[in-house]
Amino acid sequence: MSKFKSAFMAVLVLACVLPLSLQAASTPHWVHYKLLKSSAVLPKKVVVLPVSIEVQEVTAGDVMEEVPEWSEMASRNVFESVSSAIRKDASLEEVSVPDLSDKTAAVVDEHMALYKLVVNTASDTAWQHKIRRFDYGIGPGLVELQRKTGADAAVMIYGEDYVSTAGRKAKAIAGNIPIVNIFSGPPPALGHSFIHIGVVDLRTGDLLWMNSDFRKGTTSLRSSEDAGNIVGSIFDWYPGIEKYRNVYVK
Amino acid sequence: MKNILALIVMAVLTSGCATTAYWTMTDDLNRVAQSKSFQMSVPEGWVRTTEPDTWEQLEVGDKLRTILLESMTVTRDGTSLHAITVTRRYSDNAFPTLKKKSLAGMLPIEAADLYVAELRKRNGLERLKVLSNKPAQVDEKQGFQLVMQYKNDDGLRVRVMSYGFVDETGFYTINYRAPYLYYYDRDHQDFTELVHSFKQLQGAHEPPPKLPKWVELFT
Amino acid sequence: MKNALYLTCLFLLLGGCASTGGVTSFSNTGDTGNLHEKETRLWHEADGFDATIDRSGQLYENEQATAYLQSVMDRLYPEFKGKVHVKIYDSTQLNAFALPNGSIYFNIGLLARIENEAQLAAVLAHEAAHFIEKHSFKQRVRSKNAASFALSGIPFANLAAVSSISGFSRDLEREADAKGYVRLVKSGYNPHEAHKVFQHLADESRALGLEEPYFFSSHPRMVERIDEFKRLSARHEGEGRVGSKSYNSVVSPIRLDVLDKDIGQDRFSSVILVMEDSNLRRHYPPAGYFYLGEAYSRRDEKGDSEKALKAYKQAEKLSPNFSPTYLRLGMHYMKTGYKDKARSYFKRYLSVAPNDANDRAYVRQYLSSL
Repeated sequence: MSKFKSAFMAVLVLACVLPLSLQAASTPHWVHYKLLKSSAVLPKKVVVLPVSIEVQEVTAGDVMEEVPEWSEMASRNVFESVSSAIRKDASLEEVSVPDLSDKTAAVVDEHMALYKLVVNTASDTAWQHKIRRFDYGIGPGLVELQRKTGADAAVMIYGEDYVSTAGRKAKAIAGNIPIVNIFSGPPPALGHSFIHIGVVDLRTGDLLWMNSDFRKGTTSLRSSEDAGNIVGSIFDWYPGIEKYRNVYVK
Repeated sequence: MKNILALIVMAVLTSGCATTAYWTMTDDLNRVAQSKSFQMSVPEGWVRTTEPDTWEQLEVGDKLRTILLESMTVTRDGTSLHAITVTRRYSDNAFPTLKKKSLAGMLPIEAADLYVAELRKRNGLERLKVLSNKPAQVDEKQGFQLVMQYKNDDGLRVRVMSYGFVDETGFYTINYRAPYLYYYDRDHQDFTELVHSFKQLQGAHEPPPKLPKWVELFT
Repeated sequence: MKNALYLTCLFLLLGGCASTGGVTSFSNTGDTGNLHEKETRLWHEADGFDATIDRSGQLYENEQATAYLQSVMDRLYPEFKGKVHVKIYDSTQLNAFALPNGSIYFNIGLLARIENEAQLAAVLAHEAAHFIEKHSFKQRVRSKNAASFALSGIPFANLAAVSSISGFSRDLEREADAKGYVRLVKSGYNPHEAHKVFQHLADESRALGLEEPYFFSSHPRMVERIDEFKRLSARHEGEGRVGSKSYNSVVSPIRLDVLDKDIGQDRFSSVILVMEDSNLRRHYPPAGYFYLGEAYSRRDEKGDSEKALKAYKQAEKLSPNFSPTYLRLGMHYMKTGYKDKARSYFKRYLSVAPNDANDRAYVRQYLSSL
């Protein structure tokens, strides 16, 4: 074999082996192990809890400021997109959030705080046994909400949207131009949009399903179309039981 | 050339096997987790650090210091959510941010008071509240049991239960931290069993190890 | 190349646009409903800070003290009643700060050091002036496009940079001093008390070898402020309200709590400084001697164990119903071999301490071992 052919073979082998060793099949969503059982029953009635989307405007100088009207608009868009996605799914029925007493509202708030900690922990876990047997939850403390709504599960949503000011965008453009960027500095990162959606069993607190989407660039959750696209791409994976089983459990 | 090719492929395939995994899954065959100074029985299905951590870095005053210790962590769902941490601190650096040592004759109540102050200072947790502080036995040694609580910025109550004792080899703590909602009660029994299984080993009486040279570079 | 130059100019122009022209102060509660769009954002951020502080348990729960501080604020600024809210912050650091939405936070550490209502009013008047003069908004507009917020690790770092948590620019601080002083006098408070706040705190910082406390971090230097207040008050003859009795009846239990928290966070130097100075100590309950004993025990320098014992004995004499003293005395005698004395103090502890006192189980254990 000539030297060049041998070298080429070495590179080819490396190119095959390295990707196999580094990349495993994955899905963006997570499914509770109880839903993987043949006897599993998916939730039918769901209550969508108040959505919290924070929209921050970021300046050229990296100053971040939440814009309350924008946050309100984005939260409304995402809520409506989620409701629309639920309506499209024949297996689901949405029930409204009732008026809650201060005591129940405080309980819901604390469970929402626990939920955020649980999903952040679960999303970061790399342990195969936790992925194969996804068993996270927030406990049965929302049973009062279950009683009031008759819902089987709660849909919990949070997210964020970072929007660049015109100055920041100009700086990004200038930062990509040679010579000009000596004066303007390197281009700053532009905005991004992120939504996380989870479905929680209201009787047991099991985190039945969760998925999220992160998009860089000019997506804006103030646009109902953009919000709908992102929510749609998240719900495309609901419930995705077989997809999850095929990748992680078989 | 063939040999070189084979060597390259072997190197790539075996590169992933070179290091010990940081975490070990506990099953019925490996429930006892052992360090130089202590051992305990870990609940089945939990994950623990394979080897003990032997040093930590923290700011004391305005300086970054590297402190020797022996610490093993156990968790079921992930340490950012909940964790059991078993730590042995050498006497000279028992309470590092307070710059205080532990003494063999120290009463458990004194060690508990210093421990609470240490936790508050190192974590910037002025609002850490002590719910109870009472005598307890750990491995037949007189010690303390503390129950503490604070709320995170989202309003989630986080509870911490700590057992601790002091002897001539240093200051030992067995900590359990979990959200008060659901997780604290769920795993409390497992934690209690771990505490009851804790045993100090003969290795506790050996002199402390030296800091690895590469760590000293960052001190 | 032409396009590149054009873009550079555009960037520099957009980046540089910042002025505070046209920002007018609030004149009454009604004004607070007419906010510039950018001001609304600051208020919203401040509301978020309020919510975080509240739900994370960082407010000091004492309804009487909170109502009292609010009443002083309402006396100073009656036209802003209902808009400026005073809250007590559970931190022993010497600090008070104002947020853009009218929330004024007053640390228990600073409350404990102040001597009377007039001094309290001096600080509140200053902080409220920041809110009324819209200093947060002015500071934010000035620094909007500068990467000047190097307050890493602090939640709401951006907000901290435009509130008096870490101080405004010196000219804004001087304005708050001047406007606050005018309000202090107008409300009938004794202006000669104003400089004493800073005098006490300057003395304490010096004695403890501290950098100037947060309250003063980017303020005009304390010496300059003391001199300025003395100069202003020299123009005023006559007295004005001091309010020592009303202040100390509310704050006295808080002072004990502050000593307890200082010990709990290992700030024993502050406790020793306060309790060894007869001028400062006179404002503290006699049980403060217990904490002096704790502070010496913690400091543990040569001679401190004798000083600690002396302090505990003083607490025993002057505050006989304060049970923790008996626990410490019992422990001292137990460790030094005086079993009978130890037993006696432990029994005394059990007779005085509340039924749910944390240390009862320890004491019973010690008694059974003696």
